[in-house]
Amino acid sequence: MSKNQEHIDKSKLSLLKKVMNILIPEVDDLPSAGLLITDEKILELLYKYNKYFSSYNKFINAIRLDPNCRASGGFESLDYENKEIVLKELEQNIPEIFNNILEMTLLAYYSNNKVLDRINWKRKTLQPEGWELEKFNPKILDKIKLREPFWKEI
Amino acid sequence: MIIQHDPTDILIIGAGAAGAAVMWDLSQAGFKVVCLEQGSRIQPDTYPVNHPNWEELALNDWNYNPNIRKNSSDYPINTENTDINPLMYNAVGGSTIHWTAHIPRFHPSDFNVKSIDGIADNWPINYWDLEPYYDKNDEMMGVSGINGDPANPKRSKRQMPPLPLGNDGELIANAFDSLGWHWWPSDANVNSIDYKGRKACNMCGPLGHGCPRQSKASTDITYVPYAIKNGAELRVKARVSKITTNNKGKVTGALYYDKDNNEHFQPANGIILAMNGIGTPRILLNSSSNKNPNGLSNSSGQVGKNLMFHVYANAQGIFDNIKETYKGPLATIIMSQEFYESDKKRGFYRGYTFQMNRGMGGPIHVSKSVNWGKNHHKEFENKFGKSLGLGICGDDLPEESNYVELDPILKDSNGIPSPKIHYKVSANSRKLLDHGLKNAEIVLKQAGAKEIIKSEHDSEAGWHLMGTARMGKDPKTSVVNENCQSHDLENLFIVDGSVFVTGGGVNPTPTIQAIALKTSNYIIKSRTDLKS
Repeated sequence: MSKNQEHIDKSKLSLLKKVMNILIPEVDDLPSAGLLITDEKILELLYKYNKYFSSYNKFINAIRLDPNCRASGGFESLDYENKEIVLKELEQNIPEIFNNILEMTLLAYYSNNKVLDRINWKRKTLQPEGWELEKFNPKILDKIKLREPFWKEI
Repeated sequence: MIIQHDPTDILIIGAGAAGAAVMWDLSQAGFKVVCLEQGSRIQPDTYPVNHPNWEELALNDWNYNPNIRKNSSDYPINTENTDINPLMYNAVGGSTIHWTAHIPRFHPSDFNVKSIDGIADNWPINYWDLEPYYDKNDEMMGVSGINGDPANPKRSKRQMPPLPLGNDGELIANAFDSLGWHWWPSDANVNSIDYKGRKACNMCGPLGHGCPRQSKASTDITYVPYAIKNGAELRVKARVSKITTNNKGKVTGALYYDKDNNEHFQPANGIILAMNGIGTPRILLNSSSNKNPNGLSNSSGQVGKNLMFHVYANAQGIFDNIKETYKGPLATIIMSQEFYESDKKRGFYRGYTFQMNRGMGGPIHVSKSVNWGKNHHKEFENKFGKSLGLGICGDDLPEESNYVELDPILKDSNGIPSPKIHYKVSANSRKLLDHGLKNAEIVLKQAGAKEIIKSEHDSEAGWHLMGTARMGKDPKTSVVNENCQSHDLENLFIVDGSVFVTGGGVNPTPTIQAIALKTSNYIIKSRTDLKS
């Protein structure tokens, strides 16, 4: 276990997942992001990339110090609309940190197989298969080829 | 203790777009060449598209922004005072590892802005001076494209036919046709058929993070292997701290650190700087001495001044009549130069290129462009595979208030002072971008977009780093002459984007490479004194 790993406690992780639920809500038969994304996936990203780890700690501190959260007994106690208001304020006040948390959430959510099945995307390497497109057909140039040169000679 | 090396004829600093080109050309002509590159050789199997988590890698270890990526070969840049973040890649191949290989040329008018518009300055060279070197570079890099573009002078035969336009490209092409506006298939350094042992592109999409098939040209595969074969020596993970001089007005070599932090000295008869509009002034300013207290080659005071990016905005259309826009190269499809040349009636100087961009990549990249919260899923479904963009790449004019300096505190891992950049989008640029956005909307509507999302200014668009050691006839107002030779030090040359006098409204790499090859040709023909 690295030094960083020692600093992640369950209550912080739980709070982060409640934030994730607001960032990406449930859809069809899929639960919201905080319920879908596993602790393991979050920890994997936090340990792998310092930008997420350092933002995570700052973000959790910011949310705990938020006056609206403190006045109502914590982020968890707010109703949906007020949770959204708190997050919008954080997005405005600490944009870089907020965006790193959002990016980590999107990375974790959109690499979940259930999500990918729903959007009909196969998680694969892009190489060596690639995609196929029809070859260039010069016929499409018929109209533009009629135009006289219009670059400026100096 | 400083490790001393045997002298070389030419020392090149940087093995990117320009450095690799001059390394090949000079070594072919029999010059003894050493090239120092602060990055390493990238193994193609490490490129993100070889991995299922390619989007995660693209956002982190392969991020375009060195301040986010933080690889060991990167140096930090102070970006507190800039509207645009500088992007670059430090490795053999440089930023051609992560470019999209869209290669329009400058127009003849770009070299004469002062004469045409009465602003900025004219270049001391013109399009026709560069034309043979554009062609020479095209042959080495390999161009997919087609002749006949009415917005540009006629060109030599392209090496390969154009890349497929795709249904999405055809849709946009037809929209331009309907409006009577110019468009043309992009010239691209991406193979549409096999070329020089490199395979044809298989349309995987995100060109910007290395191409393991080698279908996209990057100079680590187009120039460097041939230069090595010629006998050039490439040293990687070699970070230059200072260029040294003697009392005779000449450079004598460079001090650099290797990966283990050992200090070396490489003596040379001549030095070529081939980094970019930030790296080059950084080294020149870091090479100050009692004799040159303001930095090397800086008697004009112009080193670091006139930093130019290209200002960039984007309009994205959402369509019902197309799908799977993640298929195919991101940004080498078609371009329009209807509004490229100056027109005083528009209320701003110079013009711009429209560059069509395909969808935004895989689901993670698309999800980053939609709002979080209640409407997230609806917006995502609306966009994923159904969006196309028109990027507006605007001419960026030189201004002394946009500049690079050394940060008094920030340093890289070797303790070398880092650059701090100052850049504000000008009023002229703002008008230009607004004009472009308005017209992009017209094109996308014509193509059938049901919704258009405009991004008025892209702060993560600092791909093109130009202008900070500019070319000119007058030593009082420029750093190098028409041969890219320092006005102050006759055996020092600069061949990267920092020598640009104006920015043009197109991607600069083929122009940088043409300038580099013109310079190496000058050295080969006229500077035999540098050859041992």
